[in-house]
Amino acid sequence: MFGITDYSKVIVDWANFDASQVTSALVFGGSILLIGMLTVFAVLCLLWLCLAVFKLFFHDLPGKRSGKAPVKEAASTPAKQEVTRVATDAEIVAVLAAAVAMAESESYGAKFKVVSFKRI
Amino acid sequence: MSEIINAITDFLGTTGIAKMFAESNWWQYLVMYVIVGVLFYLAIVKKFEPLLLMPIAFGMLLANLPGANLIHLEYFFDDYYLSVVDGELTGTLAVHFENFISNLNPMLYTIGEDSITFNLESLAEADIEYFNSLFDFYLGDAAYVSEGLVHIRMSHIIKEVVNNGGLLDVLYLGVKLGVYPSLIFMGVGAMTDFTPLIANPKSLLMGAGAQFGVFAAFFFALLMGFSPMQSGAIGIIGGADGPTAILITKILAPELLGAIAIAAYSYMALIPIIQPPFMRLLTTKKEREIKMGNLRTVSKVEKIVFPIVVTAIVCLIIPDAAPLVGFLMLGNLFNVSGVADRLSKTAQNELINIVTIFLGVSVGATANAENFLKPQTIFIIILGLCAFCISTVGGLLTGKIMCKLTGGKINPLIGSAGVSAVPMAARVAQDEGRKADPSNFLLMHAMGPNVAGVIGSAVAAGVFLSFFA
Repeated sequence: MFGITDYSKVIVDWANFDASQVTSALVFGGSILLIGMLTVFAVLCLLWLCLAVFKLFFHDLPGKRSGKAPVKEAASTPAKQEVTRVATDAEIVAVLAAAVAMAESESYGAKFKVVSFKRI
Repeated sequence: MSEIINAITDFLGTTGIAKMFAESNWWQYLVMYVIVGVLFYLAIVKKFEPLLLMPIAFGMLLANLPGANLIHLEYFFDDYYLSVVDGELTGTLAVHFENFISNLNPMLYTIGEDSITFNLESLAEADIEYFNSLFDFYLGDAAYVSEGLVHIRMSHIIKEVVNNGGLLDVLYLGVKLGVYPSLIFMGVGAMTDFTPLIANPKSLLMGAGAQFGVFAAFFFALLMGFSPMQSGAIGIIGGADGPTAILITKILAPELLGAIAIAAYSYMALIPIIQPPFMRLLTTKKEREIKMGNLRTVSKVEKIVFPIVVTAIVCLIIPDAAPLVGFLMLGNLFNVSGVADRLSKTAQNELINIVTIFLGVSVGATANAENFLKPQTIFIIILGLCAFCISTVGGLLTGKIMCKLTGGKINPLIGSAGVSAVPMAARVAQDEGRKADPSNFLLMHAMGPNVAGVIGSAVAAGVFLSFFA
């Protein structure tokens, strides 16, 4: 990397201080830092892009499965119920997760424990 | 009577206590016992990562029992097999090697203070063939010369362990060959729910921002005089991912394995103490109070395609990340596919538990007094802490930027969860959010950056491997 085959050139020996060694280490370390962060961001951005495409292709949109246009039928009462149900489930999950987190947390000195979850 | 006294004296001479005090560095054993005691205290009383800290601490105890000889590190580290100390050849291969070089022209090799180098560039092809045949005759399949340096073959290490090794030697082979970290990642993948990440892929950016500590710690370690390989192994502590740290260290700097594994797991356990001050320092109360909207639902198809696509993309770009990302996603596929319940349950229960015991004990066993009690261990612990803190800051700053860009829809606290450590970092974000507003529930949102951090740290590890391995 950077024409360096002998990495001993970038090892700083503080017992025998040599400014050129420190400069080499600064340049080499800085380059790896920059390239490393750019690579991590590039790979994860690519994954972000893929996940965004996922939503278009694989996400269950109302009416998509049947292959029909989203006409009146798609907006009928059952579909509405489905949407409401999903939102409620997400909220319930959030509440349950928070309850578990609080019960497990010692920082608040919580004096309760989660005994059971029931759908009502 | 004197025979009885002699017998008792002989027996006492064989005890570990006698062997300990017979050595000049006997005090190092006592220091190690204190460290082992502290680790047991953290694991059992404080419940800090007990599943790993307890086996690691016990492995350290076993490795520091004088005369027990439970692990033979000389089988695994090249230096122990054949090293040059003050110009003298030492190690189990020293005799074979001396016989070999006694047949060579002295112009062909140079024995330095701590290394031996061959000068083969000026040789004709026929002479190099002769050199190689001579080398094979004396050292057989035990070692080979590459770029002027002698390397011990893995097959020789395995042969030595099988013929003369004990239980801990056999268990350590799993670390040496890089088997355990991948198997643990498979279990982690089977236990991890990537739904929050799929539902909110922007989280990936926070997982990436939180890797800043990895590369910053690499930079500082390099300036402190560590080699690039050692610096990479130290930097990966900032990824807050134990198996990744162990895999990278065993490849790049096996001599630092004990110190890095202990630092990584100790800091992961200390996340609830390390992160909150930075979270409060870098965010305003108003930002901490931000409530995030519900996540969208994720279809089963998305969940199934996700691990396959991630493996393909990450491993095609950074093939060195395949042992981690590949197994992480395999475990996840077992779980989400719905058709391999038995495999999924095995990966997330029996398999990961067994491997965790093996990994913990064998990694702990590498931390003997001779290896562990060095000034560089203190530097590693300091640099590891820096890596964690900088990673937390990196994640939080990325969260703040995203908060601004989205018009305040993202609570920047969840950025701190980008430092892997699933699910503890996400819980800390949840706790801090709730302290600002008791009705704020960030846990599911923080799980997105949290699992993104797992992928991010594996990618960072792959970057180091592609540069230095």
